[in-house]
Amino acid sequence: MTSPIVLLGLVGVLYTAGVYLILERSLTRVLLGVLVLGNATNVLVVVAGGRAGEAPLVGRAPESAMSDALVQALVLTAIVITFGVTAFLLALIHRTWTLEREDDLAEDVEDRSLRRRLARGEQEDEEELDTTSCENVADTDPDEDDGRSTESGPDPAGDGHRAPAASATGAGGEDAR
Amino acid sequence: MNPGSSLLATVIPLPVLLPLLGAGLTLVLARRPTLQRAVSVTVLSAVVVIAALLLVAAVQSGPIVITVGSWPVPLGITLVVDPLSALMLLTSMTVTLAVLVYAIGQGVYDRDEATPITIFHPTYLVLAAGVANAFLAGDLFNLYVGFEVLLMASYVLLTLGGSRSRVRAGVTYVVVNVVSSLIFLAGIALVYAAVGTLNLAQISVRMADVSPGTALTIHLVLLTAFGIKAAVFPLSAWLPDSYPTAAAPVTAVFAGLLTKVGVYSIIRMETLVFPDSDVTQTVLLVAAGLTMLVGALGAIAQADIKRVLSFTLVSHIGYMIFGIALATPLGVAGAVFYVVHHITVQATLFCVVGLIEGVGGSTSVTRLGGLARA
Repeated sequence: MTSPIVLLGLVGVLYTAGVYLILERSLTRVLLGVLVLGNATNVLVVVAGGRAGEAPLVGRAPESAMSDALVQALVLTAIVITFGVTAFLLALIHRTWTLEREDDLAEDVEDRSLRRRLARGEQEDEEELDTTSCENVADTDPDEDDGRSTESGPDPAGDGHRAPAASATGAGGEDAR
Repeated sequence: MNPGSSLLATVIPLPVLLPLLGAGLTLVLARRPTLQRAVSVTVLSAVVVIAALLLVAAVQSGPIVITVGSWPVPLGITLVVDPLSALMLLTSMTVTLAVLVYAIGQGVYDRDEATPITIFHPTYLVLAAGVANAFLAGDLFNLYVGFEVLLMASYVLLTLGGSRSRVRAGVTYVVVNVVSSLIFLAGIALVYAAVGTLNLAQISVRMADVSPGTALTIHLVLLTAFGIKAAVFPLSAWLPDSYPTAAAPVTAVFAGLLTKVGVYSIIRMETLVFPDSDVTQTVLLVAAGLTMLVGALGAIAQADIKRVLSFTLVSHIGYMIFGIALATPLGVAGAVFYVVHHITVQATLFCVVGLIEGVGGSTSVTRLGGLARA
């Protein structure tokens, strides 16, 4: 049996691209990464069904020449599931956008307060765990600043709706500097 | 198969179907909260009774199998009830019902910030259906679908209300779980390519003929996927990050059930599909030990009770995995016993935190001084 090298290569390329995209801080790119990874997995499932053959309709072709119908059913199910997840992720991104005016994944508030508390030797006061006060000091946090400057810097003009986000984070970055 | 068990076999799909039907009903009854609650409680009570019946039948007369629509085995959907799956089903559905009653009694989700009450009941029932489907699944793909159903419901429950912190936690949770599902699906593809079937019973027979290297690869891919879902140490960072932000009843159900579905899948893999695999047993032992340690150490550093409990949840997953990794009948029995125990206790703990939050107005230990006097 010849192994479908081209398809397997495609799966590899798609996995690479998907992993790269999913590690971005921007949520739209993470979503694209999820889509690419989903497609890579779907192709892998199709490859798992063996070589391509005739359409699996009884009477059209001898049974031995048919391609495997089971993997096609599985992939259809998987595509529908990916579709649902994508819709939900889009809703989440939209919600993040309305709340934050940016689609970056912010740092964990609780982690940050914990880190600052440890740095200060457990001397914790009441506002320490408060979300809003943490938001204010966030801009002076060196880690946070790093994340933002790398993100807002080399943004290609490709996706139009990200432009306001870039300018918004740019403004925030200037405050910090 | 005697007539009694064939009658019981027709009951097997009900723990999946009833909650889904209930979800539809409660969605239609969105404007009638009282009726909605009545439907949800009735449906889950019925499922608990059915699960109890199935457990008795499975213990008395061995595994019961039904192929939905009578399609032949590798093609159709197989549902299997054996003592393990029936026990998990009964425990999880009992806890689900109890937490639902708690949620109704507390009205926690009512007074939460702008939480749409109407969506809670349908999603909650879909979650129950997904959990039941995962426990009853007799083939890998059906297990995957069960996972996806319960995950979709959990995405919605976790982000109920769409407040800033919940959306942030939701993004982490959704992305991590989508990735783990994709790894699972890739594992399914590898299994199918290797043995040409997805039925768990057939896989377990045919996997013996697969070359050891291929089997190990498939085993590790599947373990990674389930390890993320069960929050085993190197793959557990998402859990304390996302669970604490949700409403108390939601966190209680998540903590009680979702990770245990992952643990259940690992039990199935280790005992049924890959019974003697020394390499992965060592890997699991080390991961289990580290999970216990890291979870407990993480819990010490926390000031928020919900986060403390989330870290201890991770730690205790380690104990279950340790039992499985020992790969002796007693070890697995201990793990199963502990899973059942932990489902009830962890859900209760999170419910109590919900009460504390209601009385004390916070879940941070630094602000809860004098709670006993209150």
